[in-house]
Order: sequence, then C-alpha cells, then structure tokens
Amino acid sequence: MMNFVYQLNNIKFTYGQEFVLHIPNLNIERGIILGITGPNGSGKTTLLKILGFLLTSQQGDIKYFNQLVTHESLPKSRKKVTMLFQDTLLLERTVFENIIYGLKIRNNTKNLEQRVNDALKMVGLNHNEFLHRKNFQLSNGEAKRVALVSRTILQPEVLLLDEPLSNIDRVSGRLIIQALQRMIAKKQMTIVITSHDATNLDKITKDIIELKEGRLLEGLNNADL
Amino acid sequence: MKKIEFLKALLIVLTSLFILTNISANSKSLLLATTTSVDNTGLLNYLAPKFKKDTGTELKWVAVGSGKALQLGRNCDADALLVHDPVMERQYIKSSYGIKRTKIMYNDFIIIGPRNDPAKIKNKSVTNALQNIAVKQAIFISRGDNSGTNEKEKQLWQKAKINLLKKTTWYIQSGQGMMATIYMAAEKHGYTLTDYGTFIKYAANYHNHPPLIILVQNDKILFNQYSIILVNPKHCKNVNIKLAEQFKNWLIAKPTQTTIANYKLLNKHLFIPNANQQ
Amino acid sequence: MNYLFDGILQAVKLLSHGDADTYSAILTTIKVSTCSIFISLLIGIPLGFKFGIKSFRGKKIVKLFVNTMLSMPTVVIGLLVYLLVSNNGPLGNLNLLFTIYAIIIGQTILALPIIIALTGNIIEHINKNLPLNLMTLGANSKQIAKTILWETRYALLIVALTAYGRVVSEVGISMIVGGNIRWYTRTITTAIAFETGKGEFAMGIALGMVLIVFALLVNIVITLFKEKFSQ
Repeated sequence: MMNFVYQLNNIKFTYGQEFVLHIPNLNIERGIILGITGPNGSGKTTLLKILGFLLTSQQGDIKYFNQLVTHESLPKSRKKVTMLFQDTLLLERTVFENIIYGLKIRNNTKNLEQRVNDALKMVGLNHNEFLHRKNFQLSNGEAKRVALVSRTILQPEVLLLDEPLSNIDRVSGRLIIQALQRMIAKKQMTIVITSHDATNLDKITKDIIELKEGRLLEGLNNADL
Repeated sequence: MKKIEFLKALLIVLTSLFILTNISANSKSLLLATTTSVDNTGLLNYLAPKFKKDTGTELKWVAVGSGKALQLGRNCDADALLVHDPVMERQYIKSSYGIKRTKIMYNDFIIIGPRNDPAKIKNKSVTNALQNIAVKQAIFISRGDNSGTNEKEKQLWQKAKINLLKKTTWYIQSGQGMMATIYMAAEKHGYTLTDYGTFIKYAANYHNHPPLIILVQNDKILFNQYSIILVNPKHCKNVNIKLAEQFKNWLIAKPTQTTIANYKLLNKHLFIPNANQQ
Repeated sequence: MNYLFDGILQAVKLLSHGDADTYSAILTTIKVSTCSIFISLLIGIPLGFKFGIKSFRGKKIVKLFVNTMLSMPTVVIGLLVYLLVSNNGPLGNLNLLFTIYAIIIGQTILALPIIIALTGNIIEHINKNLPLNLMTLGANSKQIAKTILWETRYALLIVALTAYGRVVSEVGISMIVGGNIRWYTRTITTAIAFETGKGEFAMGIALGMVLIVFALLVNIVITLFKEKFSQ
C-alpha cells in the first residue's frame, strides 16, 4: 500500500486579499523525488513553504505521515522537514559553523568535524581548509552546496529545494544532483524540487507536477504520485 | 559559551564596584538649596568641611536662584534654604512652607559697570543712577530669574519709578547665575547689580584689575541680608529637620560666625556675620 | 585666545596632579553614563528587534512616536524626570532627586529611543528570508532572535556607541535632576557649565579636554569595529 508523506486537502493560500495557491488534492509518496514546475509567480515557492511548515494555509489541512498537522505539532514537524531557499543565505561565519548550526540546535554535537567532512565529501567539498573559509569567500556554487549540506546533515525526512540549480555553475549543479540521487537510492528521504525549467527536472525524476497561476495542471503526472 | 560566562562575571564585578562606590553616600547628609551668589563666592566650599568636622554631617547643596530655592522647599526637595530675598522669605514663613527664619550674614549690593562709565552714574544715589541708565539707554544686564538679586533689582527700578515692561534694546535679561551675568555685562560693556561677595570673587579672577568696577554703593537700600529657612516638617514629612536645625545652630554659633567673617579674598570681607541681630 | 592656552596648561596640570574635583567629575560621568547605557541596551535591543522584525497594525504610529522622541531636548527630559522624582511627585518616596539614580533614569529615557529606532532599522533591513532560513533549520523564535542579533552585532555596537556619545555629552538632565552637587552629582558636563558660569575658564577647558579625549576614544573604537564590520 502507498505510504504517503504528505496528504494535502483543499489547501488555499492568500496573501492579504491576493489569491496565491489552491490545491484541492495532492498526495506525495514517501521516498520519491517530486518535481514541481511552472512559470515564476505560479506559487511553487509558496507550496514548498507550506510543505516545509513555514507557512500555514488559511484553509485546508495537511496530513504528515498520516497525522494531521496542527498548530501545536508545528515545531516538531519543522524539525523533520527542511527547505533550501532559492536565495542561498549563509550566516556570517565559517563553513563549518554554518553547517553545524542546525545540529547545535538539536544538541546533536558528537563527533562534529568528522560528520561535517563526510557530508561535504558528498558534494565534493572536503578539501583542506575549506571548513575554515568564511561565507563571503565562497562562489555561488560552493555556497549552494554548503547550504545543502547544512540541511542534509540533519537527516530530515523531507528535503525541499526551491530552484536549487539556478545561478550556479554546471559542476556544482551536477554534484548536487548526484548527491540527491545517492540519498534517494539509500531510501533515506523524500525530496521535492522546483524549477521553472521542466527539462532540468526531467533529468532527475519522472514524477513532475505543474503549477500555473496557483493551480495544478492536468497532464504530466499529478494528484497521486 | 565561554564568552557568555566571561561577560556575566564582568557584569557582576562592575555592578559590585558601582554599588560599593555609592554606599558611602548615605551617612548623615543635609540638602541645602541656596543661591548662586553664595555658591559662586566659594563660601560653602569653605564651610562644608568645617561643618562635617564639627558635627559629622555632610553638607550637600544645589545652587539655584532664590526663587527656585524657595520652590524646591515647597516641593519638599530640600531640607533648608539659604537665600537673600527678605520680602519673599517673610511671605514664605507666613504661608507655612518654612519655619525658623534666621539671619546669618549680610553684605551689600552694588552697581558695577565699565570703567569709562558711559551713563555717568559714579557715586550717584541708586535712584539717580538707574534713571541715568534708563535715559541714556545704557546696557544693563538683569538676572531675570526671580533670584534674590533679581527681586532687589526690580524693587530698585520701582523706587526709581522706571517701568520696564516693554522689550528694550538696552535692558537685557540673562536668566543665569550672578557670576555668569557679571561676565555678560563685561562682554557688553554694560552695568549690572551684584552682591559684594560675588564681585570680589570676580575681581580676584582678574588679579584685582577687572574690566568692571564698583560705581554705586553704600546706599541704605542696597543692604543684602542672607538668612536660613528650615523647610516646615508639618508640610514635608520627609525633611531632615534635625540636621537642618543642626546646620542653623552651627551657622549662628560664634565660632562659625567668626569663620564667616574671616572669609576674605583680595583682603576684603565678602560676608559680614550678623546672626546676633535677629 | 589666551584663555585657550592658559586653559590647556591648566588642564594638563589638573589631570597630572590628580585634582580631586576633576577626577570626581570624570568618575561620576562614567558611572552614570555606563549604567544608563547598560539598562537602555537591555531594554532597547529586544524592543527594537520586536519592532523591526514584525509588521503590525499601528506600526507607523509607533515609529512616528519613537522618531519624535529622538529629538527630545535633554532639558525637557530633565524636567519630566524632576516632576516624577520630586518629593511632590509620584516617585517622591524613593528620594531619588539630586542623586545619580535620577540622572540614570533620565539618561536611560534619552538613550532608549535611539537604541530602539536604530536597532529596529537594522533589523528591518536584514534579508527577509533569514528568519525562515533559520526556522527551517529548526530554530524557535528565541533562537532566531539570538542568531539575528549576533549576525548584526557590529551594527548594533555602533548603535550602542552612538547612544553612549549622546548620553555622555548631555547637560540638561544631569543639571536639573542631578543638581550639580560637588562630589556627588557633578558630571564633566555640568562641571563645565558651572565653571564657565563662574568664569573659571581654565577648569572648563580642562574638563572639556577630558570629554574630547573620551569622545575620541569612543570614536576610535567605532572606527576599529567599522573596519571589522565592512570586511
């Protein structure tokens, strides 16, 4: 039987008076890479933030692993799902300190240097002295990879990525895709990626849905995935 | 985490230092509201250590105009007042804000002005002098601050039958203390009314060759009496009446009166004790 | 001009011979200003943060109020505090008038709008996605606030130093509620006003020099940290 990570029911999101998103029905299966495509402004980021429990829709409800998500359960759910924003934001500190930020919050601080190095290996950044580089000394691609690692090291159940391949060099992009595929292969998490360019997503997954002006389109794959 | 521990420790050390350096402040102390003319002469700086030695009480004072000193008394913000406005003082006692008004010392008011005396007031009577100044429209600096000196000055203009209600170019109100007003008069080559004590201190600053000199003095009307008034404990529950009484008694005692008499600058007496003339 | 030269000579003499009045004024200024800044930072930075991070109804009105308070003359603040702590006033029982504690209250009121307004401005200008980025890594509101304040620490330090400069150089509050009492509430600035009023220009200049050196030190610290900030 299908094991759904998310079950979205009649989700409506407005920003003030402005309509942004309406998802009548969406179920996402555990362990897949789901691609969401659509033009800019079609609501992809908003949908991702809702899946990340960073935004709450005005109407509708979400089940996470079959449990209804309530206001009280939000903080717990947030620790299981993590999102990588399109605008790569690192803190004013070293690569090492950026990566362990989430771990420190969870008091999960044993053996840090080893774990960070292993995580960086996955995206090809475990060379000498890289740990001590400061955030402003990184290229776009390096920064994106560091931001990704700071999230994957938390071993989330769901990883959400908003336009992860935009504004970075091809090599970084390739390394990121390889890392994602490796994580899926290990059956370790569910991944949701957005991109305004469907052909980008094609290389990574066959499970793609499309948003247009805040609504899901028929065609491509949709609804039960 | 080490940084936070260090900061906490630093905070505790600083707070302790702060408290320690302020603890001594609460031994017996008396708050006196007095006039700038008394303070500017340095008399209180001279008397305070002696008072502490004789009685163990610390004298603290704020120097404001007599008008403000009396107001501080009304607000119960001072324990005793040392002022020089007899008319206001008598009214004050009548209204029960203050009690036990006691004369301490006197000097004279004088009119000072530039050496070349443009209004030609030298050695004239007060009334004539002021009339000359008004007619010639010579610059006169007034305290303009309800101080004892200011009140006396207003009385003198009244006696000379000169009305100063309109804004003029020659009558200037400084709104400041006595010494500051004298300096302003010097800057503007003008005249002013001052007490003798402050003037001598001023002259001493110039090694006895100041830009302004005494032009009118020795008129009976220029008598300047300083008195102490205790704030009425019936009106102000928290007043240090015992210490205020102690200070009054110390001031009128013979040794202190002699000390006041001996306070000289440029070999001149600034204040003449007269507590025996109640 | 003679005053200036004589004054500078007198200044060096007073400072090197450890003149008690001078050092007392210096100590009082340091005590009072440092205390007020500590308190106003403790209250002002969290308030400024809350103010900058959210948009809420009536924010524009609050902003207007805080910005107006930035222009409050110190004599007005002094007067208001006097009415508060005078024996006649609501806090009369605490006997704070003419003590350093009254000055500290007044200077805290002086510094608070500066700290709140400037901190709010700094927080308003952080990357809008930063709070969400931290939230998605598992931080709760308290942790988000702490992290953001740490991220902006150099800018906040400049805010603190700005407020400190304002507080250290004020006269109105110290004079009215402190009373310029020798040894107790005479600060560098009230002493300068006092000595100048008496015509003791040398002493005034000496104290003025101390204040300038103080301001210079503060500005040197600002500059050093500015350089670290813009790296």
